[in-house]
Amino acid sequence: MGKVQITVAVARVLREFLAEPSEPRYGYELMHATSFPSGKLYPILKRLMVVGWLIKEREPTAAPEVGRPIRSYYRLTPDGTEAARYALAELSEQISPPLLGSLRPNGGLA
Amino acid sequence: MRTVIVAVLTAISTGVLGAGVIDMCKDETKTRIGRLPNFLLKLATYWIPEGDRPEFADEWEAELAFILQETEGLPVTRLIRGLAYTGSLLVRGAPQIARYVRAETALAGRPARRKDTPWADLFPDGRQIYYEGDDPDEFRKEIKARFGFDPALDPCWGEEPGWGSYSFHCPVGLLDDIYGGPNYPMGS
Repeated sequence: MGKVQITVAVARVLREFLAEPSEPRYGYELMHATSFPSGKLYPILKRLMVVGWLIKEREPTAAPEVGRPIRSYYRLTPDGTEAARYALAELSEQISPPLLGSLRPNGGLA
Repeated sequence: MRTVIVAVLTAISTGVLGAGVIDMCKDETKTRIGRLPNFLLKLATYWIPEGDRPEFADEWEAELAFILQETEGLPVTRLIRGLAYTGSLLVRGAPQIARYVRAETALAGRPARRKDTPWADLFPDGRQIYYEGDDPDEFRKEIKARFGFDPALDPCWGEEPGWGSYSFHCPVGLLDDIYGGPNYPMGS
């Protein structure tokens, strides 16, 4: 399992996947969910595929039934799900604001 | 009187013909503008290295077809969404993906090549390659039986235990069968 640099954009895409880890997600649907244009989204999906966090599959519907070409969708791999959760938790920890001070009970030291 | 009738008929014919031509021009313009997203998408796919192009072209074409199908009967929305999808891919997405694809190919250790180019054309003197599987003896026996070539006769074969010990020079005539074939785990 490879590593990927977690930028804010990557984190946003991962968050969408983690909302329903087993659900397949289409590119156009992800564009709506993240508000990313196709030119920003697809390179991120490709990066996540290169490191093995995502897999791309073709929808099972036969083309003539839907009257258009068969679409491809993306899904988190089991390892990808774990790695994505860890990466987001790590990112969240890194960007959370520092504590303003420590607390102690009134009238005592501990 | 006759001249007047001819003039009137000519004017009517010209008017009808003119209106028809104008309608045809409008239809033609509408159709060509409607195909603009598909044209941009085609251009975008040219960024992707040839061997990997069909994978991306198929995916994007299907997605564009879905977008266009969703906005059936709304020509302006259809055009705007289609252009937004394909234009963004053309100027940003496809070039970036092309870079990843090239980097991936380079990392895999095999040079980018057209899918229909034989390995023998790329390496006319043969190539030193590594067997990377778990059973070098079985591999050796199979290659010997199938191609009459024994990789173990190469002085580099089994030279030292561990990584890289099962290297051999593959003759040009067998490169496509052994190195290019899907049957054997090979590195180079």
